[in-house]
Amino acid sequence: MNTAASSQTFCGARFAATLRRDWRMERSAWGVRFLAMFGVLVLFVLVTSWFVHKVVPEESEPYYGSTVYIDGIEKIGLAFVCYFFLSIFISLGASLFHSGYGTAGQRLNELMNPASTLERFASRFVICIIGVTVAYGLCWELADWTRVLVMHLFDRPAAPHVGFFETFGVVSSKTGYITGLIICGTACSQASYALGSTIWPKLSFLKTFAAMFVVQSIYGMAIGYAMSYFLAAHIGSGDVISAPAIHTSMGYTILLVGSVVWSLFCYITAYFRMREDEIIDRM
Amino acid sequence: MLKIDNLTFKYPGRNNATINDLSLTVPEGGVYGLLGRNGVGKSTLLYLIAGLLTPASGRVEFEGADTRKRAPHTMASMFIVPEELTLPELTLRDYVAINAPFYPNFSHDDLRRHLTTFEIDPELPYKLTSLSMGQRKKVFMSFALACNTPLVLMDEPTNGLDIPGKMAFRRFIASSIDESRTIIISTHQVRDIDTLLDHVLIIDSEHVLLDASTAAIGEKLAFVHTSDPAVAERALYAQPSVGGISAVLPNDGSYETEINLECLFELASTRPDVLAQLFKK
Repeated sequence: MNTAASSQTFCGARFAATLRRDWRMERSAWGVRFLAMFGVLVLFVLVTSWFVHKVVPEESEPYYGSTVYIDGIEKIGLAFVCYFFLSIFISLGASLFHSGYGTAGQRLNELMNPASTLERFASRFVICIIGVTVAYGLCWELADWTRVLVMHLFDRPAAPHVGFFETFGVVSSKTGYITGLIICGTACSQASYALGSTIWPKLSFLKTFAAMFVVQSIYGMAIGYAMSYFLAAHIGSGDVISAPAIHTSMGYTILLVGSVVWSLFCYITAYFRMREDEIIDRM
Repeated sequence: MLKIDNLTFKYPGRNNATINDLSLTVPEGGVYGLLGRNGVGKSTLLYLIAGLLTPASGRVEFEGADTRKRAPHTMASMFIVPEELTLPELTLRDYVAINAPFYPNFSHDDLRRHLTTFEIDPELPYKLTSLSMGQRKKVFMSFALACNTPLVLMDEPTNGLDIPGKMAFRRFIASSIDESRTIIISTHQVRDIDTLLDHVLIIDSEHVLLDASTAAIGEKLAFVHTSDPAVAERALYAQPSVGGISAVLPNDGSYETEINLECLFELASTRPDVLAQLFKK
């Protein structure tokens, strides 16, 4: 790799070498994480499938005895498991964005690597953001096929395989909106945890979670106080207070734009924090 | 080649600057010994040179580039061997496979040669984390010099090495010297490196107490071991040692002695004005 001739900001060969280095250094750890993710998903989809059929037996009542209804409840349960663990695992994955900077020795290894900040950032993005999301989708597919197989082996009725993307359409007919909301939520969560990991490389997940909890609590309280103040001024005045009408598509657009802006803010801040990294942790 | 201009650095939470307005120029080629008391900022200076810390003021330039910007080209031209190493859980082969591509002049032959000098199997099948501290250091230093970067920074490289390891270290450095490579070694173990040095840098937090080649030091100072009290009286510095006195004398040309780095260091620390006068540029 001729570093002198190549760009000092981004060079494809150097990025490939950085990605290879990052992946090779953590390959075993990611393998274990993948197995853990698969194990947790298998456990929860099996429990969901098993107990939905147990508590709602097909022959109990004609109304509840509909196979379609049972499948529907089971699918909603499975979709809930899928969303819940998606939010957990992608956040955990994103919180490893800056994990190689936990100690002075690790920092030194990373900082002395002759790659630009953009290359190191992109490499971590590919592994911790894109890679984890793809791995989760793959885990889900494997886990649900395992559920179908196990239920079949125990001769228990169960919903057919629910694919990763199929779960998006289970809870609502508005598949597009649901898909959009899941993507927005996922992107915001990943970006927040990625930023959190650049601030707290150690115990990043817990610290970011705590920080987000505090920020959201303060935000909620501020809104609550503002609303109570606003309403108190109108009580007894005879005014009719009506919320401005927001069309679903408008609300959806606001949410989408807000998510993109927040995610970009988090990633740009994370990039600059990475660029300013030193061997000592100044926070 | 390496230029340090009015460098000041202060760790967060400390009142005093660790390095205060330090200026220094290190030309290309040679082995430099960086000496100083505990806490004067030797390791900090190496980190600043490598761009791993942000100075409060001043800058470090290597081959014309500000090292703090850590441009890939600059980082590929230098290698730092820290005092304490953290190596990944990989075999040597894998470690080399993922790190060597970043260094355009990396030589597998040199790596084999250096590992052989340290009596380490070049086909080492174990994970690096399973090695002892000393073995890890030997492997890492071998990799560092096999990268053939123009600048190598070593912080206490002989800490953790056994006696044969220290002897091998001297052979290892001696076999790696060439005109285009500068090796800066920061250490307190002066006897491990005293025969290797081309140049001695002694610093305190604010001043460069001595910046001179070993040839110039040999010309101007004589390091003697004597039992004659009269010699001690006219010495610039003298200290009791086994069987007599170790002394540093002004060299009028009649002495050809080996440098005693311990005495030189004490002379620089206790009488910096004398050294400044002798080595005035």
